[in-house]
Amino acid sequence: MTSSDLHGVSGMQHGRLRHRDKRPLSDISNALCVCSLVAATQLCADADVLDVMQDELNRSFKVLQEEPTPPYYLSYEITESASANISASFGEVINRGSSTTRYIDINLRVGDFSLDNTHPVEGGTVIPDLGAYTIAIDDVDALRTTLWYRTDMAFKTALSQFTRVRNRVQTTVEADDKSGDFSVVEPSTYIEEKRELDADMELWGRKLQEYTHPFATSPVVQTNSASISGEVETRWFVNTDGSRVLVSQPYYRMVISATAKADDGMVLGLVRTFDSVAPDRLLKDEEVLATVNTMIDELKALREAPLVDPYTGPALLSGRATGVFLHEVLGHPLEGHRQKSEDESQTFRKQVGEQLLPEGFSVVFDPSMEVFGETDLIGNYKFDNEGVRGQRVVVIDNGVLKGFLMSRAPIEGYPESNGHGRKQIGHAVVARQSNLLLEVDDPVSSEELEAMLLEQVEEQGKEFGLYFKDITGGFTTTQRNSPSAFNVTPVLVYKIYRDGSKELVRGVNLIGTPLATLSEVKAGATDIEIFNGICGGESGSVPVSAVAPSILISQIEVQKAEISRDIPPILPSPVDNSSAQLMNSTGDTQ
Amino acid sequence: MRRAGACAIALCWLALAGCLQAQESEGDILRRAMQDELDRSLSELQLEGEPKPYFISYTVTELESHSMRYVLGSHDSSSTNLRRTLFVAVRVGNSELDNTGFLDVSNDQIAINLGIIGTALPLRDNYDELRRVMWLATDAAYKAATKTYSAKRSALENQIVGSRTPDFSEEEPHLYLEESDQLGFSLEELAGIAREVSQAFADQPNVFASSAHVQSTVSSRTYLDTEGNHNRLYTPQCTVGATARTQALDGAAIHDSTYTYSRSCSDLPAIDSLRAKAVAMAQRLEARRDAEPLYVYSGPVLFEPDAAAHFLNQVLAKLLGATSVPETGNPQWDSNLEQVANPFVAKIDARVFPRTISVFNDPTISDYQGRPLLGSYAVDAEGMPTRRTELISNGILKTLLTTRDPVNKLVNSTGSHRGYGNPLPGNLFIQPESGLSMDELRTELIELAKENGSEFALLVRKMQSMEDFDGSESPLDELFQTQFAGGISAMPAIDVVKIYTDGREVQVLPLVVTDFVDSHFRDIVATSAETVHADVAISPFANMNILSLFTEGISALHGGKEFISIITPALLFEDLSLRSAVGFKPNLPAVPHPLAQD
Repeated sequence: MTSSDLHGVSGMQHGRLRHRDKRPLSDISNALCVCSLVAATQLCADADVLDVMQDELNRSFKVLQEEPTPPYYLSYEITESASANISASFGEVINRGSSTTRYIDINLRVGDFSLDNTHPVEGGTVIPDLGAYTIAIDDVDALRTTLWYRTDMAFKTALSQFTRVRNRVQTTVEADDKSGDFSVVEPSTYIEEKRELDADMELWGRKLQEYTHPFATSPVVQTNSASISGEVETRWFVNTDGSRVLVSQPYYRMVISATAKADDGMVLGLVRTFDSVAPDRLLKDEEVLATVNTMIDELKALREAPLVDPYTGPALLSGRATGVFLHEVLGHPLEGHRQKSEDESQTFRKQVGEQLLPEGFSVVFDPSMEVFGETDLIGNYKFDNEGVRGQRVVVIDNGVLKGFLMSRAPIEGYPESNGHGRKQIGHAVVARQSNLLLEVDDPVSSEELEAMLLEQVEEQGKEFGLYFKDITGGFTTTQRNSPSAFNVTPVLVYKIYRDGSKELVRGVNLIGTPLATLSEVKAGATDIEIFNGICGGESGSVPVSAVAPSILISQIEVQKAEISRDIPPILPSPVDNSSAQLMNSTGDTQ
Repeated sequence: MRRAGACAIALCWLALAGCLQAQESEGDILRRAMQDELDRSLSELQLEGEPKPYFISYTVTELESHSMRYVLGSHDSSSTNLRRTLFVAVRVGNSELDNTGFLDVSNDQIAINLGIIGTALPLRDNYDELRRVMWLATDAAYKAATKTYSAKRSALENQIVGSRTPDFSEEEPHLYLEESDQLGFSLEELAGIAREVSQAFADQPNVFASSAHVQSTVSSRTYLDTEGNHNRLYTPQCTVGATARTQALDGAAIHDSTYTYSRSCSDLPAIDSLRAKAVAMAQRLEARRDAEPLYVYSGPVLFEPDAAAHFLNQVLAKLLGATSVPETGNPQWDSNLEQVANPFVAKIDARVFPRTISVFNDPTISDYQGRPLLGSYAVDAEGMPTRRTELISNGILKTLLTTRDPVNKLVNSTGSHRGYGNPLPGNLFIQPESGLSMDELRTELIELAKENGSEFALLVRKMQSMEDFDGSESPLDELFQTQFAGGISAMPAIDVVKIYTDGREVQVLPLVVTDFVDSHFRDIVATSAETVHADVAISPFANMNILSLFTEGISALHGGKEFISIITPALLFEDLSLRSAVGFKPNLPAVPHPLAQD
């Protein structure tokens, strides 16, 4: 099962190394006073992290060629994660923290391109994760020692995996897909500036107090939290193909959430996210406060909204909802490794060349796109976790399925990577989504799309259609041992009656099967929206984006959502919301 | 320990109010918010048809932590965090029968309690927002309590209940307030320590992986309940750790670690001493590379004092706490749970140790032989004052440590709620009537081997530390080994030597004690005259009774680490069973160590 939890990333400094410091402690202590812990690389001099990685990689790879089962491929990826986060609730900061950690991921393959230790076996994972191990990079000896130790572990693990793979291949019938296990790519060389984390925790704290204070004045809001997190992820990558890549990507995110409780016990939750590559672009007071006030109004309205019964019929999906919907229904099934694993349902494997969406509809994944309009796209990256440049991939052209998202694990007919091999630290790479873009050749206006919905309502003899304004996330099951289905979680759903009137409703999930639901897509509008989120999958959590207009689907299905039966709080709030005041940094009210 | 400004007074309600007013200064808004919401909840919180709460407590912990890790003098990772958390306990019914100590198995399933769920509190003392969080957390805790209380009454309704032990003890209210001190160290200084200690391994090419870390935490705990107990504790802690891994020449993965604890990082030993400790550890690890395997062993075993302290922490400490078997109302479940009950509960007034050994717990003692005891504390997590408790006198178990949950005839608290489910000691003293020198003990060990017709006996110098589980590379293999060892599990002995009858010493690979049961304590045939003091961080794996996991979960009422200080002599067991703790043996690295090659 794949789950996608979508709720809502500076001076030239290539990780220069220092040699062993032989100075007395008193001098060392003085030196430490100069450099902050977060910026410990500033202690470095002389060599280059990539050079040391390359040297150690070459040394190990050469010696290991003398082994009975030598590696044919080896890569090192060091990821530095410098992060900071702060959270607040009802106008008060509730925690803050920061960390800097460097991790090493090693991909060592024994066998050959056609069959190696990563070969998927029935009932097993694509590639077992090796775990997240830290590594120190500021010192040549420390870096080499850890690379050597982890390479040895990876080699032993690979040998063990390969023995199992060979046995399984010999004892099972030949797989449908006869492609190899690893593809050949041209080596990449790319080095960019290492970015520094820009985390003004005092400012972030003040802003979060300001942004969450309105929740304290509302009697309907039961819980609330807001957080700002910043991370700069810097990756050094080398492999035996000759690739040398250094990329550094900042990512800042603000998440604001609030809940209210309906009289029937249902917890009503809303989440809004703001994502950017620069922290100051998150902190647009007017926009954020307007969002907060809208959330409060929506929670008030949701408390009064009626529950909706299971329904089939026509529906409109807003741009954001369409983005999440396509991410689940189309994006996950198109991830390359799912076409190969015998455990996967391979929904789209034989659909290439078939019409999946209406003519004029195209779906593109483009990790090279950094912004859309004025919004940063967090599914953007230059190189994937296999050192392959992220490429624009047209998966659906004019409604017809053209291809898949590919890592370096080939599938029949698709022997090459298109730069979508992604992972979180400590996980093995699989094909993942990047920036999804739905392009519609002949879009209609929003008003026309709504009119088309009402026509469908009329034709199908329904009392109303549904409008999914916002969706928090969802998941898709893609394996054979369970129904191939999706379930997305809307938070703002309206009934649109035949006369055009709208009524907010609650308590439903949007469900269905990918092929059937996609075939019901009828039209798209001009009103493009953007969804930035974090997608969870086999290779961990990766940032993704979806850019899409509103669409009309002639037939969708909704089922009742899970509901809490807990009653609202017994005692009234001890806080007089009307007089809640925002405290300034000195603790005075203002 | 910092106890400046502390007052410890048992007093009545009126006197308490007066004292609190006199104390009002820092933290007053927090206390007032706690008191006001406690008062309102106690008097007004009630579901129709359900009883009101008869007891509510709030525990607020604030934790500031900084940690940094270095490898061979190079920065590896660092983090800093600040958070404040509220824990709420609500009891409904009355002290004779309430919602606690019950396990609902009505669906024939056992629901393992995941622990007390903490709620984030504002870092600043904003009265309204503190009240808001307390209101919602109390509401949730009360509803959960009424649900359990109803299930418990239902389960017990059709049973003939004899003389039940009450569910909650009657205690005098207690006030204890500490003031915080400024800590005299900087993050740069901590980084310098970690960096310098990590360089201890720089010239050790046979150490395959190593690191050093420093962790500094400052935690405060404010406790207030509806009976008038109120306390505020400040606990700075500092840990310097170093770990090293390698492979024995036969391929077995071996490792070692060393930890130094202090109340504050400014109290740490000199950096030269910390580095020397790491160097010594690395040298011991190097020496163990040519250790030979020993697959099974049964016979006499001598634990050196430090190893004895860690062994007793893992096999004895949790037995000294009175833990009741939760009621279920289901005879089959009751019977099953009795199988995992603390055997010491049924052995009060029985002999559990040799007649030559006495054991007492006294968290009020602040130092031993000039070194601070980190297991000392003044007030426990239920606001109860701690005191000296004679546990074993001349081998006879006299009593057990208790919390406010009575067990059989043990109806009053000894102030031993350490933030975990079962009571635990603070400073545990193992006192032999007399003892031998280490040389004499060794001779005694050899004599026992000869009596058994064996060529050798075992000497344990070091046990695996539970602290290693906090590292980035948890030794899960070792933990699994202990889980299949049978009896009361203990982590492997990592530094073990065979002592042959001719006096030769041969290092062996790690071993784990198997099938250890409480009656083995009676097989201690000799002890050393010298005792040592070891501070051991409390770990749920080593120190929690499984029954507590069912009823209390792994709670986290403490902010930072909690310690047990164990003062013990070397212990000679007449007969223990051990087996190899080594799993598979991978090949040695095919590629030479990069530093060795240079």
